[in-house]
Amino acid sequence: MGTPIRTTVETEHPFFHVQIVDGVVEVLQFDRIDERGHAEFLERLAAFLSRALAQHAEERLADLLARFGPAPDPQREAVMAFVAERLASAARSRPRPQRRWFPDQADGRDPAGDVHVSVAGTDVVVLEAPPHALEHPGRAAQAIMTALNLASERLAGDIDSLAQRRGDRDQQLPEPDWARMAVLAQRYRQGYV
Amino acid sequence: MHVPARVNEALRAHLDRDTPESLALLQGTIRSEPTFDASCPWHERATFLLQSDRHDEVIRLINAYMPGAFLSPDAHLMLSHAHEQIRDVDRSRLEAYRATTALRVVVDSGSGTRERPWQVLRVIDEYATLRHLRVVPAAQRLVIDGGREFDVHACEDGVERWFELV
Repeated sequence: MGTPIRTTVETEHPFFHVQIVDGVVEVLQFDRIDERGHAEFLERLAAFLSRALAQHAEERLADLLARFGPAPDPQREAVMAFVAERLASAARSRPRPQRRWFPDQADGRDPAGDVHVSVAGTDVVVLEAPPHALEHPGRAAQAIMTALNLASERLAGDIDSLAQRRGDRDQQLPEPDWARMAVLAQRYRQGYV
Repeated sequence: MHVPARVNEALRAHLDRDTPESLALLQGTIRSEPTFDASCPWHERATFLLQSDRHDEVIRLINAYMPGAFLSPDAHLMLSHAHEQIRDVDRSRLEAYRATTALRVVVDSGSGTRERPWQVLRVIDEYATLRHLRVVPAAQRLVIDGGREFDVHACEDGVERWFELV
């Protein structure tokens, strides 16, 4: 185990503050909510949490690569940059239901069942809470944290179990031909394929 | 869950007329939906999610396969239970009604005999029907007769129940 990865993100207008430690939201704070702006508040908070989760995921990945990643290989990095571009361009698309299940999204609720959060990757795609659940900012933040952490934990658990099922098979795969793939990625970028 | 008008109309027409033709039209309409898959790839995952109290995910998963999963008693029962757990009482009732209707459509389609088998769209619908009738299947065999395929369930009460996958 390395040092815990701690990400803190804050905005001023509106005031949102979150601290995420190793994938778990430990602190969430915001101001009192004007009931008339309830829907807008939830939308802004979901976008803020998505940005924070994405930043935290990047920091954790960078830490993992620094500790366990392969030695620098420009061709491999060129391929991975291309893959990252493609994934980013498809981040908002919704795939049709597949015959094989793939862990792309998970949900959580607070114990009272009022707050509902759904997480896809690092995006908070659903954040629902009735106005009465947001009356007290401290309790509301606690309920949102609980629901969000449950959704993230379930998604991580689903990905782990899929990885375990595929683990044996993937270990037998040969090392990709990064040089050839880098050439292909460049050709895709230039529109030749 | 949005159910296309063509599916609702075919269901209403069948409930009004209850003829072999109206049943064929209803089942044909569901089968022609792009999301229809007789093997129900959602079923195993939905069962796991339900057992794990992941009700929002049950709803999203099954709805992703609608209207192809429409009139699957299991689909509607799972949706009803999941909606109840998230305290969406109206939708829970609607899905319970749809589950009852789905079972009624199957049970009224025959008598479960070789001469008048029950007509189903999916194998899981056979097991839902047997559960509904409170009979326990002990063994299942496939019978092909005159180009038609039948699933025959030998049940613990000593009676064979016949289904035809349409």
